[in-house]
Amino acid sequence: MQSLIFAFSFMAALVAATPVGVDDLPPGRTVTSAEPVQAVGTITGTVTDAATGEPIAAVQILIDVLGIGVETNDDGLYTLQNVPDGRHTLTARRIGYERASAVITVMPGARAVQDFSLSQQVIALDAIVVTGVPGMTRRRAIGNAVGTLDGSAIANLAPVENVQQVLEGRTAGVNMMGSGVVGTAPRMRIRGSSTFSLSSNPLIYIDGVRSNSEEETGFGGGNNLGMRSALSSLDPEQIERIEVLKGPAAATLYGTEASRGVINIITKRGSPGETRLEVMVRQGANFTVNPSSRIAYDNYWRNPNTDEVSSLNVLDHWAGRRVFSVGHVQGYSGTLTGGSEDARYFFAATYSDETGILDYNYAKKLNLRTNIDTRLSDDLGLNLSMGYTTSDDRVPIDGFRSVVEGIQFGSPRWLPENRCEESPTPGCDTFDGFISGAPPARDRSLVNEQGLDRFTGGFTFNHSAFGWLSNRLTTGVDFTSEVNVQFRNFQENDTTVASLGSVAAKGFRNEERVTQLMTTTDFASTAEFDLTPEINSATSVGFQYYTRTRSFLDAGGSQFAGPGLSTVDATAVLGTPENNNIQDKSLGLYIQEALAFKDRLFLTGAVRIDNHSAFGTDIQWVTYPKASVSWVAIEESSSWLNQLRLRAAWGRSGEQPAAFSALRTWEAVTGPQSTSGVSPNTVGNPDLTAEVGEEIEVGFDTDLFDGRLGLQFTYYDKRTRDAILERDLPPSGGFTGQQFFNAGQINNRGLEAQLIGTVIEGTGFRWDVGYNLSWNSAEIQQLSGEPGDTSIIFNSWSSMEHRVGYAPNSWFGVDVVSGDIDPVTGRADNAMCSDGAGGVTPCFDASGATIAPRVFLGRAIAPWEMSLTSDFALGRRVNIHLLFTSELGHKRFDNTLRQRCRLYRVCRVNFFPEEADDVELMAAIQSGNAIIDAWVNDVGFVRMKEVSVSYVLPFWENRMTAQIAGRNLLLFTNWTAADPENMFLSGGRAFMQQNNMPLPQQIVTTIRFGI
Amino acid sequence: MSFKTLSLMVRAGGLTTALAALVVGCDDVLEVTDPSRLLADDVEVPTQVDALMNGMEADFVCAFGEYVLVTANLSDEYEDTNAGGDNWSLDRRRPEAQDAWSDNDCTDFDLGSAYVPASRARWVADNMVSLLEGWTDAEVSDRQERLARAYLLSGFSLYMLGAAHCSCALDVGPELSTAQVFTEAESRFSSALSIAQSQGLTATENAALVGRARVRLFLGNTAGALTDAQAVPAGFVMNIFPADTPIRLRNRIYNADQFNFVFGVPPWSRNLTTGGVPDPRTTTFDTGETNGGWAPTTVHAQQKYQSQSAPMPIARYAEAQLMIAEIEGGATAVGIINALRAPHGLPVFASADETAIQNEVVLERQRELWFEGHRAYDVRRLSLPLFPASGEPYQVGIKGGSYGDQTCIPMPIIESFNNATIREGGN
Repeated sequence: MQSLIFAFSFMAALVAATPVGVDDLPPGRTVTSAEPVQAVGTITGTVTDAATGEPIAAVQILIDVLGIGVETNDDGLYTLQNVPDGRHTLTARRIGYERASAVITVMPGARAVQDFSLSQQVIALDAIVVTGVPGMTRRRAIGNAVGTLDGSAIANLAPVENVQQVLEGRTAGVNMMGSGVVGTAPRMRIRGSSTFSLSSNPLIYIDGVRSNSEEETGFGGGNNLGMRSALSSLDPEQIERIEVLKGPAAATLYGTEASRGVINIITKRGSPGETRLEVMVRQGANFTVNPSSRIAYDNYWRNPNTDEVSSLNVLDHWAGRRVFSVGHVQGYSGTLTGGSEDARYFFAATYSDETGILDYNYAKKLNLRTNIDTRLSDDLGLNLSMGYTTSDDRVPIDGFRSVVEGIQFGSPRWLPENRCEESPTPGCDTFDGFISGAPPARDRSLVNEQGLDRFTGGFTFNHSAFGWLSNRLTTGVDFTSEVNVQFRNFQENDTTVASLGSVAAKGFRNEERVTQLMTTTDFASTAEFDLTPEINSATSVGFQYYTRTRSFLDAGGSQFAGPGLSTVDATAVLGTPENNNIQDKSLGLYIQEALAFKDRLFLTGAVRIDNHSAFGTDIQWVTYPKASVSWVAIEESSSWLNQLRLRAAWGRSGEQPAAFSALRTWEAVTGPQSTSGVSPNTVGNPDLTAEVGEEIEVGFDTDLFDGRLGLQFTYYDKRTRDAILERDLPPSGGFTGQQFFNAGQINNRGLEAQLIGTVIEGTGFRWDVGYNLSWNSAEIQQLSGEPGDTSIIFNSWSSMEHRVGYAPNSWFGVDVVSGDIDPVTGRADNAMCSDGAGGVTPCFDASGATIAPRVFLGRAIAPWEMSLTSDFALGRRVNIHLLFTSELGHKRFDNTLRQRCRLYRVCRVNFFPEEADDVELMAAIQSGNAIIDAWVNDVGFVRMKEVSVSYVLPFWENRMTAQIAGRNLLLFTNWTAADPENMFLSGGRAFMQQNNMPLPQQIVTTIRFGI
Repeated sequence: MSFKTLSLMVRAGGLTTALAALVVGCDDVLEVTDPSRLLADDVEVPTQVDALMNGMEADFVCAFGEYVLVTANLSDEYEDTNAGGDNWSLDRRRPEAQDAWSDNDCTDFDLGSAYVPASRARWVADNMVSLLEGWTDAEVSDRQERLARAYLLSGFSLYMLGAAHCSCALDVGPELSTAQVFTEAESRFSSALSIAQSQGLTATENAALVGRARVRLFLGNTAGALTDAQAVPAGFVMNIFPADTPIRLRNRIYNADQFNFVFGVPPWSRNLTTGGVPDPRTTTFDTGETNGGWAPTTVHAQQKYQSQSAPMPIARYAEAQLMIAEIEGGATAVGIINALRAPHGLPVFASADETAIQNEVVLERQRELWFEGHRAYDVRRLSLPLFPASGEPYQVGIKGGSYGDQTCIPMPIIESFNNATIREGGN
């Protein structure tokens, strides 16, 4: 708070000292300046995006030789009046688009029409990007790649429910891993895995205010259950653009916490002009096609009375009865924009309501936004941003004990005739082949809901003085309040009681209330002036102060006495309530100098220092320097090479450890006879310091063949020093749980390429393609610093390991390469395993114990990511859009297969060993947990993520677009489980998959129109 | 650049710097609070000795309850009634170092580890010894009594680590065999005994005698074990006192078979007979509850512990007597067996055959010490026949797999993978 007061005082002083009356017309805005002539006419027209057909606002329409021009409004319409008669060359320009010109003849008193269809520049060198310093920084001036996504354009191409869907497949190096449950969201990683144990989710800013980026909210466990993301509460319809800073070289000025990347979300703002209402209506459906082949198996069982073996695919058995349903998707949005040069406004309201492929899986969300921009004086502007979200969702179990589990582990044993013969208990006839009872009775009985209210808001003062000094003060808050409930009432349904058991059927209720308040105070100042006519200097200083306070209160109990009871205090068995608060604060300062030579060569150097409350007591300030160079070698050339920019950047940024992780603490416990006691809690680490990411990034951006082909290429080399590892403490030391410590170094090298091209451009037809490719090579260079420490098995059960020389989160285990299978017992005889050095060694000793070494089996995070977009424009009204995404080169643990074949033993080979031909599988079945390579399988895939057809209706004056779009309609993969894109997200079983809900297919129609 | 411009720049920079300095200079700008935790420096002081002692007792209650539960499951006392497969490895006598349950810690529903809570209880007790020895009688009241108690609980914690596990570690040190751990336990019991005898702390003295006799018996010091056991007076019993809340203090056996219904007494361990008549010490009842869901196993519960706060004995006269019977055999053993059976109206045992007598001692230990944490240890140290036998199908037709032959639990990898001494080959 003190800093806020100081900052305001400082701003006030500057404002007071600033002379009034400086001419400061908004940049890029041209007004009609031609003298009236006697013989004049009018030119009107519409400017649209060549790829999407959407109107483009703020396009400058100019007749250069006459010095007259006008801008398009939000509908892309322009009217240029008082144009002298005769032939004129009319030019349309906008940052981010290729320039277009047309020759037009104006007749006295007549209205001539000239429309433009502008192609987006592959490399928009003059596009403004957010860099952390005040004032407008053009892309050409920065030495690193910035992924920029146009929120409106993407929302127009295909329905997007959340920010993750906007980013997915459109930004090289951004990887998503997620779930098929409505209301949950994928987890994001940028440029691979550069941390052992800290969060990989990037830092999020909304209109300059640091925001909640938690990726796991609500009730969850060691699987996908409740993995909602704070990012999902935002509404893509209200986002103007998203900028992705992918690593330390780009994110240095954001300091500690920024090494995993920064995502700047810039919401839409009003533009001068008449009030305009935009309306969107969306209706659609979530569904799953042929689930029998996707998630069900032929499972076997031997009748102990007859010794007969039979098999069952429960979904085939249930043909005609649906386990999964068609979920309704609906969304409504209205935006109101307008204003004057001095005051502009943007009001928006969006409501979305989506039901998943289980009818009790839903997510409802209402987003409201008010953004107001005012010019308080010629030199002082105020941008106000306020967003409010209220949402309500219910997510089913995804993973253990889910509907999918009941399907995947079902077998003939659970058919009524077999079940009741084996165990004649009440409800024995209700399973109908499913291991967890006929669906969805048991699954539906569990209610897992989240009610969320979130306010993000802030204001930014932009102040300019003396013509060379720009100041910016941003303050804001992000407040989130969650009420999470997990509840099952007293069950009376036979199926549920039989499936749950009599104890669990008595129900339970857990309720938690979580609030999180984040505050941002960000002040920065830039002094810009020309050192010489050819050299421009911009010096920036700034400081940021962030706080986060999270409060958590949880209560729960189990076993209701009877039906109708539903509160915690109505349970027979009250759990122990939990109440805790987490607080962290960070403070950073920076100074940056940027030099520009002839607006072609740009040199930037900066240094930032940070301190954080989570640093150990022995650690004070951490320093993050950066330097970059950008050289526009070729610009607007008429040769085949139209534009070439070379760039390089080097920088550091950090990631802070968790709050309180430096402190050795005890916790209060209840002693015998209700006495007060203490017990070891956290061992702490006073030497703990921030992870430091250091990155070199080089690349080039080029436009070729008159803008028909663009290529952006980046190579990066990121080294994360002092990488923080959360390692289980050996219990013999007294303190259990985990301890954070600076464990080692991880190197990430990679390539990112983006190719955008116009394949065909003809009268009435245009075909644009885009291709993103990224490759990441992660490698641990050092671990723990302790002699001999070259590997850490952090995920003991599934054998995931951090090992020097390999990527973090790699699979290691015994690798069976050959052997014989005993046709009677099915045991792998003479099994030979890899010795890790190119040779083989026996897998087992004489007693059957596994003796072969653990060797590398594969990476858990995909090294290769690709996406392909293809957009066809037919005439001016029809647009067809396709997006394919792909991840290759990684493996995942198929625990469904392991459970079927090893634990429940319902695989065919369990009954017909004489048919077995997979030594790896048979060795894994017989070896306990020691051999896992049969379960760790290739999870690469290619998926048609989006397809849409849009049509601009001819009968609506203010543009009406109708669209039909599909999501996740095609999938190509060899993955053995349900869906290559979902997995357990956290806990000791991360990167596994078991009984997960596959991503649903979706078809949605959308109507957009303006009034 | 004009002088004025330069001057303004300097002023702006100066102001910003001054502002930053003000912010940086504020001591509390990065200060955070944690109202739910205590800093170690504020706890490990003489004024907090009561809280530390209470915490030590609580940690021991948690550890002992888990030890009895886990070893009951490893032995034939309990069977798993869960649908989930995580605990089956232990129930099948095929525990692995990487089993998921092996690092659980006094949780409600899941099987806990014997290793984790016992390790913490041992460390806390030893830490308490260290703190008390560093403080003076003037700083801490009843310092000697507290010291004896800390030594005693350390000794029993070490016993639990050694009895349940094939190997273990102390203080992030090398891997130790059961014999090595028991040697440490013997030392703690001796220290407790010495202080207790000098201070007249009878209960502590008797418990230390029972504990030391146990480990001496395993270590082959039968003479020492006999001397200790014989010194335990009739009627002696030392209990721990579980509580309904919090969860970690619950009576883990009652919690398991009459509350969460996650374990039950299997047919081969229910309502055992002695001399052909039902032995009331092993009476069970059908709870009528199932927790297996799709694989329902009706839970049969023991009746020794009838509430969450039912006391659990950690050392008592009967055990001392049975150790004497085991060591001396013959008529002494027969006399002890009959003395223990008499209050329950059980038939008199008579035999002069030493093998038969020793077999009867084993049976008597099984019945008298039922669900007190001794059965798995007896199976292991005496190489008793396994039941169900190794290779028999596991919970026939329900859960699959077969029984193994392990009688001790491997050191969990949470220790071996994270203990630098072991990882680097020290042992």
